[in-house]
Amino acid sequence: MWPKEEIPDDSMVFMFIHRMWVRNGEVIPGAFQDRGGGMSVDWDEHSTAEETRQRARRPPENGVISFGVGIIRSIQGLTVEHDPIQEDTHDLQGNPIRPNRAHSEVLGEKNDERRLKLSRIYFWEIHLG
Amino acid sequence: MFGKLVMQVLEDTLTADYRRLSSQPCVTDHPFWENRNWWRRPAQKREGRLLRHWFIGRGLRPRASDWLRYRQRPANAPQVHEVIESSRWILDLEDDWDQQGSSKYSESTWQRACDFLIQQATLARQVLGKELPAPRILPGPEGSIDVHWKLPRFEVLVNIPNDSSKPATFYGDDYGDLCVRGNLNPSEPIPGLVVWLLS
Repeated sequence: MWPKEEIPDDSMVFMFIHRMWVRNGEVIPGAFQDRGGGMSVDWDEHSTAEETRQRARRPPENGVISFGVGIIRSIQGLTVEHDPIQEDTHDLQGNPIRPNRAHSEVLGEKNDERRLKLSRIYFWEIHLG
Repeated sequence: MFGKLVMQVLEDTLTADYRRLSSQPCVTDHPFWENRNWWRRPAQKREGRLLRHWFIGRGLRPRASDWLRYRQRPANAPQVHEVIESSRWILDLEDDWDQQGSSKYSESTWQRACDFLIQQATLARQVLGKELPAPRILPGPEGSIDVHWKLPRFEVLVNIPNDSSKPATFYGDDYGDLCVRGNLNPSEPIPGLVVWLLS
């Protein structure tokens, strides 16, 4: 079982982005939303950008962006917490979820202000093909 | 002549209020932005009087037919029309279109986003005689639609919810300390927003 760790401010987190959330090479603010309690990201301590992309349902249709953890935390109301997905974890429908030690959540309501600010602070790690 | 005079007074007043607004470091839920009683500001309430020239009379308010008239003159209002037409792709999205479970968008939500934009564009043209900068109409979270202005000096995001009983929300800033946020009724013109976008 993986322990829940403290993510330092100077870490990075990765997030895969489906191509439909990208317009003119930019991730649009709507991409930054909560899904099941938070916005899922992968801590770079336990994942590479490519591994994050491989966690998308269809990896070739996704790019990967990164955020500085400290920069996310500088947005009022947002926090970043490590939330590893252990083996034998299932979703609400009972489907198994792939284990992921890097899994983390950006917590805090993704209101207009926070979505707009998130759309300004990301970097492309893997561009869309 | 009288109409021109009224418009000039309106323009002067709106510009003056924008300057007052911009002199504050950060404006949160400023009533100037809310179109519900937007013409009745707290200071005036205390003084027990209303600035009558803040009220846009029915004759000056944009109507849907105004937009149709503009559409017949594409050289005058090409941008907003193009933005609306080019956003129809949003209606083609099906459930789970992003492979992460996002829902499709209803035509009524898209229509409210377009109506909102038309209201602001018409106000800009009728009252201030200017063209509204072109925003992007974009898919938002949970079936909502975003109207997004990204301009060199500031950025504004308006979110039109899927549920028509809920108010639209907005946030904008100048990439610095000046910011505005709050709720608005997307079916009405928002003079504060329009003045900001035209500034």
